[in-house]
Amino acid sequence: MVLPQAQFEQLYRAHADRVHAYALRRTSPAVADDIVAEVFLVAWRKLHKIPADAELPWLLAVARRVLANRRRSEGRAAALHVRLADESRTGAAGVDGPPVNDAVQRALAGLSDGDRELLLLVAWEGLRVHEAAQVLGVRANTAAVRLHRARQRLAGALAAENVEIATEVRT
Amino acid sequence: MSSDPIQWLSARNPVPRGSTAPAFEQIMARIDAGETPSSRLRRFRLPLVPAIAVAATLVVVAVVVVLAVSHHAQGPSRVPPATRTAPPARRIVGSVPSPGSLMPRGGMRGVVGVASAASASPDGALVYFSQCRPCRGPGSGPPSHTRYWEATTSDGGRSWHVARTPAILQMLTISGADGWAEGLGPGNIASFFASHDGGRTWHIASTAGDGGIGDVSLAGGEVWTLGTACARPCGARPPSSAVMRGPAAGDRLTVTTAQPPLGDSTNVSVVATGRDDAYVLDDIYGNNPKIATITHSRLFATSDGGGTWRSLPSPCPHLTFGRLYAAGPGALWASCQPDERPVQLRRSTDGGRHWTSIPWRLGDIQLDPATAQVAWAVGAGGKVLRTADGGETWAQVWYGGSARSSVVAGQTPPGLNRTWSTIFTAQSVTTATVIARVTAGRGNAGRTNFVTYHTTDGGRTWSAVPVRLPSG
Repeated sequence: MVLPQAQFEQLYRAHADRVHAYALRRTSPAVADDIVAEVFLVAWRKLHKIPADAELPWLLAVARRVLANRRRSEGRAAALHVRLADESRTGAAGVDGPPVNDAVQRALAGLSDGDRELLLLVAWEGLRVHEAAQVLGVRANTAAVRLHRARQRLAGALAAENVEIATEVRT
Repeated sequence: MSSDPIQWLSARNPVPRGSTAPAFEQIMARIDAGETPSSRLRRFRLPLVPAIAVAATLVVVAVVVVLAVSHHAQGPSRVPPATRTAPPARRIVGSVPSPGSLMPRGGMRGVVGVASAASASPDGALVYFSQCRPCRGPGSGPPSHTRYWEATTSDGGRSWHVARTPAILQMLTISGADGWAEGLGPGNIASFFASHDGGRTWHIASTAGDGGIGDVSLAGGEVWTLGTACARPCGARPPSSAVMRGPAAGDRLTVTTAQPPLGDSTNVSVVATGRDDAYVLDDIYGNNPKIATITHSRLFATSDGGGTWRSLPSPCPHLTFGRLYAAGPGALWASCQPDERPVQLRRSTDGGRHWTSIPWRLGDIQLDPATAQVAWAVGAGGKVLRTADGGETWAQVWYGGSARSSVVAGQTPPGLNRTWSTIFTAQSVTTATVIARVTAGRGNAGRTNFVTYHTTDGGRTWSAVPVRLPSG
């Protein structure tokens, strides 16, 4: 029998880099470390409930919650004392993440939050559609339909921007 | 060759080769609640700097003198630059000029982000912010260099003192002389910080359990918060969330004798309404074995200082991301936000026994209730609104003009040479300060200043003051 501590350490060593990269693509390096700590705190508490065949999607689903909550709670404190709202929603602690290509930002601007996240889970996190569905908490079929729609919209946005995707070579 | 837009997107991954997460042991140190003996109490002063020639008010003079002495006592460390500004305030009735139009020349270089803001008095406010310069993406040369700064005013924003600080504090809460906050202490370990001089100096407070994951709330001379606590021996089992409390004027937090049955989530909202009265709103993960999804929130309350807890109807029974706010005896406000759907507001006037929905159509919200009837809020687009009838009607009292939002968190929107964000602190039913962070240019070439707006009549008129930040 594997001890819970050993199981937890194994889980961390297997997936921490991917969870960290997910956070880094969405916030600053200092905050990304916090996100990793918080995600694995939840994971440790729910260790026996993490599906063995979907550990990474499960962890990214928690990371998505923790990041969103972190953004919302930037100004949390008792009434009459603090309130903070960042117009540009610049991630927790307000420090910029790694630079994202302007053309990418413009192309993604027309998509809904859910479609955008789905595209990025596939394109940046390298998840398969059914895994991305698990992160978003939707059925695989639903995700497939949404991905198809999001891909078309992205292609349309790129065409409107005169971005020639056919010339791109992926290395 | 590819014509797939997803491959085009993949090729523009901002962290293309993955990244290296912190070592397992380092993360364990963060999430494992270790021993925190009272010897951990260390005192340091944030080095507010004496390099100020003219001070406009007696209060500011007093601050500078105290800190000049303390700084000197610490030895000849490099004195970071400080500035203060006292241009004439412009009295504005009606619509306000946009922060971009009032932005001073020059300003702080690099990427500036605001971490937190707080008010200790109707005329006082402090803002913690960070400066990243040079700011680099991961895996692209030497690491970024980040400095921390603090800006303080004690005259309603007419003059500001800006200086470097060694730590950045979040979840600042100040009531009179006593302030509490969370921040990263030595070794980057999340710690609670306390101040007993109105927020001028801070020190790490000791806890039974460890800190850093919850709200910090002050009421009736008591501080209430959420930390983590582990069963001895630590490390054998995951630390659980624990409600903690302590005298606001003291330096020690202890875990309350009884705990509400908290779930596994780290999104727990704690508000105090009196010395022995507190509420806890807890997000709950559902039982779907395949999906880590928060499905609902639960509300608990204590009236005997945490000796017993009772369950109350949740303001967000089928919603998530619950956040709770207290506004006087029996008066509670709550916001809830299900995934990808608009924020919903709830209000209770009988201590959480009954909740009613209140209209809100402005998306994401930062709520700041003053009483059961009067509340301030910042909604989408940085608009500041105020209600005087318990949320039935909202009047827009401040708007800095349109600015596009970033679609990828943490990114300056393209095509904008000026961006601004709103930092809002309400000090009373009628007094509030808007601090707009204005940035011209982008990334390392960016220049950031503040423009502050202050009202003492519930938002009918505002005075505006541009604040030029040191270049850093």
